Amino acid sequence: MELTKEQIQKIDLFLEGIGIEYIDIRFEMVDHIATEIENNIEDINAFFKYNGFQTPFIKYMLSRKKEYFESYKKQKRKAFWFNIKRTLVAVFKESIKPINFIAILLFLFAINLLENFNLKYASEIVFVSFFLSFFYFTIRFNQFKKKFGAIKIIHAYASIFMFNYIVSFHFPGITPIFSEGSYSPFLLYKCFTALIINFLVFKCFLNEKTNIQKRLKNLA
Amino acid sequence: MGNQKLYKGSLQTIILKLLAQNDKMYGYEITQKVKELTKGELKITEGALYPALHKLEAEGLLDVEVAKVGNRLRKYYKLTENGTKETANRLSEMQEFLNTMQQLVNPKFSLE
Repeated sequence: MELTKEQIQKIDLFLEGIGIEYIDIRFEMVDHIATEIENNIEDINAFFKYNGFQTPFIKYMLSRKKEYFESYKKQKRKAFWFNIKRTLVAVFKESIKPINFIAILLFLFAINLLENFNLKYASEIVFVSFFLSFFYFTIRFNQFKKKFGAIKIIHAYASIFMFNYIVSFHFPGITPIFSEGSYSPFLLYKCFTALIINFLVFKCFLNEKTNIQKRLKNLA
Repeated sequence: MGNQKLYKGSLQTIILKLLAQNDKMYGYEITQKVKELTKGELKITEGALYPALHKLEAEGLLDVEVAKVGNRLRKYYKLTENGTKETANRLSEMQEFLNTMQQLVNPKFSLE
């Protein structure tokens, strides 16, 4: 016998209650437990029937709570690196798309021309663009995260955004780009690279955003 | 039940072999198939299975497909083209390993 929507929801709520927060990991666990119940429990309605603390379902889930949580922790840890790798591959694929590749080359060419003409202006344009793009992407990203923070892959984008920000601003910092006498082609192209990475990560995030919204519609 | 630790290093090969024989499978189905084929000797836990599946997916050896089954979503795994090639490599490595072990533990007999 197939579990009803309410029974599936009970499994989902139990898992959420014990701290299995990310739905992209949880939905696979829900299916596993639901199939296990369907295959092993004869009277499913009696199994789920509310009977105070004696509900067989609750007893069954509590007896396996530790196992579920350990499995989740292991998956969560591995999912972090898996998602980072997946995101970086997506960013690379985005960068070699002809339209992006040509746009990056044209922008690089323009910056190179401007650098030869006036390094100060070129540096300021790139820095302001980087700063504004970072500010804009962070706002857009946080709006989405507020609504869909329970999806694990979102955190991979957050980590890459932050990593790019920290490396660009501190190792070595690009802020001296504004100080008189501190302009240098190295700082200019470092800032340019950070700007391009921001742009590509954001484009991949927009693609992922559509996928997430579709997937979440199915999960709801 | 035998020593589960001995099977641990072979989990990915077991998954790949099962997926090579079946077009696509989901997590629970894999655990049950392994239980059935080994007559209950090997029981794969969720904690071991899903990280292994996700790792194979990250390595590009598996593809996933999410389908709505009844009132829930189900994630199916299937081999990619690279996955099919890798399965053959890993099975041949496994055979070599078994032959070597056979020679070590029981030199008189051979699996070949």
